[in-house]
Amino acid sequence: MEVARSNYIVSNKPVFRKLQQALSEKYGYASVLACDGRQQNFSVSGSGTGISDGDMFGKRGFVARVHNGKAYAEYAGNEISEESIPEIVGIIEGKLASMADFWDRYDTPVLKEEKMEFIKCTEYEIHPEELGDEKIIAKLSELREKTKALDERIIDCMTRLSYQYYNKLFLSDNKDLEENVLWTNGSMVVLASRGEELKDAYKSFSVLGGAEIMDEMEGYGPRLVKTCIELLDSEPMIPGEYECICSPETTGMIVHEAFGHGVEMDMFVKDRALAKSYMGQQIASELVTMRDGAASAKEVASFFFDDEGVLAHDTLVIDHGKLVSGYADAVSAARLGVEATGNGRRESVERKAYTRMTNTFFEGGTDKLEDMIASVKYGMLLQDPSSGMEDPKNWGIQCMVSIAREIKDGKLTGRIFSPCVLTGYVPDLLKSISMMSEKVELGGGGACGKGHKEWVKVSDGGPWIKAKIRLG
Amino acid sequence: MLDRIIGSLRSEGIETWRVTERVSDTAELYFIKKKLDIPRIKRMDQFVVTVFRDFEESGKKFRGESRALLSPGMTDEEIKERLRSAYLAASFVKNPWYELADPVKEERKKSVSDLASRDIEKTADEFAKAMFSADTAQDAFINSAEIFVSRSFTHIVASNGLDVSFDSDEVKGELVSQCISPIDVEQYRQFSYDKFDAEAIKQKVSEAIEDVRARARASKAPKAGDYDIILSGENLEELFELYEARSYAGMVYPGYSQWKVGDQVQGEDVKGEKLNIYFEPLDPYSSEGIPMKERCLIKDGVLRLIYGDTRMCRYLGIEPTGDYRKLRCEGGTKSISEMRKAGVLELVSFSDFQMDSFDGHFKGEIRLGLLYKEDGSVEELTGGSINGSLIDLQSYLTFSKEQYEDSAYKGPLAVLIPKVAVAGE
Repeated sequence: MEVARSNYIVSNKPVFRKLQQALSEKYGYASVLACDGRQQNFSVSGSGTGISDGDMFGKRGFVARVHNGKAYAEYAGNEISEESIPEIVGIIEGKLASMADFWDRYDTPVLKEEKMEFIKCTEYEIHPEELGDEKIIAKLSELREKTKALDERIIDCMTRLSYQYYNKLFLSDNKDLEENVLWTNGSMVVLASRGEELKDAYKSFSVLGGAEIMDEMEGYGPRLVKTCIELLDSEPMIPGEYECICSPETTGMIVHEAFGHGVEMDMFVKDRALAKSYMGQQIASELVTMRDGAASAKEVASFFFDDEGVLAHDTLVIDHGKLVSGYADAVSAARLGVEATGNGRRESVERKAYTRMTNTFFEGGTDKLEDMIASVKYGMLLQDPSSGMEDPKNWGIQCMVSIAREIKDGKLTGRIFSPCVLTGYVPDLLKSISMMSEKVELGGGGACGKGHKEWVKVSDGGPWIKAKIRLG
Repeated sequence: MLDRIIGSLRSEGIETWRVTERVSDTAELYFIKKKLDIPRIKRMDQFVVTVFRDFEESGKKFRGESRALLSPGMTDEEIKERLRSAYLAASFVKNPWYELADPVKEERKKSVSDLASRDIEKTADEFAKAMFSADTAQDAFINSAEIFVSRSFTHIVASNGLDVSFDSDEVKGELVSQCISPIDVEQYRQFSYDKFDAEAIKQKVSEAIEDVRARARASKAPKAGDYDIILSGENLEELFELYEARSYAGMVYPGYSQWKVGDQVQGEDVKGEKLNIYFEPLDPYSSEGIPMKERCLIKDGVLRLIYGDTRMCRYLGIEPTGDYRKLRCEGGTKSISEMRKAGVLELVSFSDFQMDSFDGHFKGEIRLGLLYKEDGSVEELTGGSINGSLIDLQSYLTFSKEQYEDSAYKGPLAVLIPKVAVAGE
């Protein structure tokens, strides 16, 4: 089934077009992005049951962008009618323009756009709204109870489901684009205590689609309980550099946090990315090929056009170890004189568009996981990443993982270290990649921030990789 | 819009509800070096409606609730449809019945900030000028900055007679400082003020520029091992997250935290300083309309308060307090210069310093560390990471006499923590 269009967008489209035209008469470029949608969150835990609309991604509203011949300015709001258009135009011409009076502007060429018009929708098998709140809560409750009952040391199991459908309309002189998208996330967290320490095992599930994701959650409880109980015997990490085998989720975090933020090209404009001076150079092992794009995979960050009206791309970033391209929002691309790649994204209409990742991953290799583990004399198998922070300027790495499993003479010993901090220098890590498994797995359970804010849905992943990593 | 929502709640037969309206106006300036990248203005009006539904099953009373987000452009039919959907959803939320917080009806509380009398666009402009007035050096400078000046009005009404409202003003943002020699590096800083404080932002810029110069001189990571470390500034706010989380009713009720009032949270044998932590209100009311006031969380290392929202507090049989976002820590017996002894590693900045309130570990990759040497010199370091358990180390904390304040923390500028594992060369 295709995701339905928004009545709000469809019925107000003439108003948004009038606003765009009114601005276009006064400015060299004017666009309007209108958004509608809904995010709903379901949770069951020891605290109780929760059903609520989410306010992170599901906001209704619009943003108008104008170019005054030198640079851009934006007005965002969530109340519009035909009668209010003169007032909005007045604010843009008055207060907004006056904010720039004192300052030198960062010169920006006008966006060039080809004529384009379409309405596109993603597909789903089971729409969460059609399945209904009662069945969703019943399923999450059943999953929780079953999982919690597996071991008496488990103090709780939290089960969650979130979905968002969003409807976007992008209007400029040359563009009339509409997209309707649905993604769904599930997650399970199992908790056990060791004295005052709470140990948790976590798994997220994601799909560009609907409640069909709940089938994947079924049956995952025993694995989580086993991991959580193992963590009760974990030891503090012994700092050092290790040969590591990284799970696809850990690979994904390395791809995204350690490297991916560094090729967001708004950072090139600001001189905040070391990658700018490494274009065309070998920065990773020849085994490494990396892609990003809303059209690179079908996951939670797949869409048809970005928040600046640029079509979704499939960008080859690293080709057999050589850095061949970054990804860019439209404004940064215009400043740098490169092609925009459909990576201009906003947390919501309330926020500015930045260059943001979408679906970001390493392509697969040819190795078998068992051979990879067997090749390690002494090292760690890293699983369950929890968070990371970018450092595009200096290519430092900070990634947190919950589990490091000891490998000795090619075999897992059963000894576990937790938690662990991965650090080091990005090219050192990427060049040390010596083995990669065949299958690529992507996950989109979380959200990505730019620095400490601006959250957008992303997916990342890759195959199992073998690399040398400093752990602490 | 509020009247339309309340009318719809009544016509749909929903008896128990709470509506929160938040209107916010924001002026934003984004800079690349000293040039303006883009100015933005936004005006958002949002309504959050919580509907409650009481029901019984097998003689047990339940109070389900569900939350719907509504926007001003919605038609009456859309509003009713969302409310019906939320009310139906509440019937599947089988949470034990509890009594809502006592209703309060008070006059609108006006903002006392000096920002309230200023035009937000002009404030953004003047704040940016103050910020860049401290950016005068050639070798180290502001690479980029974002400034957000917001004015908001919050109105909370409920079916039980609750009716409170307040205004608030804020300037917040972030800046990235850059030093290009001997190594081209950057440092990230956030800021947040509830008044127009030109001197504070100038100080912030000066510190960011000094720190980035030091990072540019740092070329290697510390040697791996255990160090006595100094944490400072906004990292203390993150460190204290352990105490905020473990005393939160939402952690206590499901058994994630075993803490109870009267517990000696640092243990019985405190070798360092005993904790004295207070909550300070940022807004006059919580999201449920509970009046906020200063509350003592921990006194001399003893837990004095379990706090949280109405549902969790009622389940625990304690007074609902609302959620707090600003913490004040008292105390501090040593000056920072006394802490800076040979062998001590002062960690000025991290990629992302984190406190995990579940396992009690604090950790982060080091962006700038200062190692104090026997000969009185200071070695500037970068790279490597720390990973320590506050649960194990909390009885050994020593706080500085020097103080620090931002919008979420007020208290000692620094803390000395012994024997923390550092991964490095």
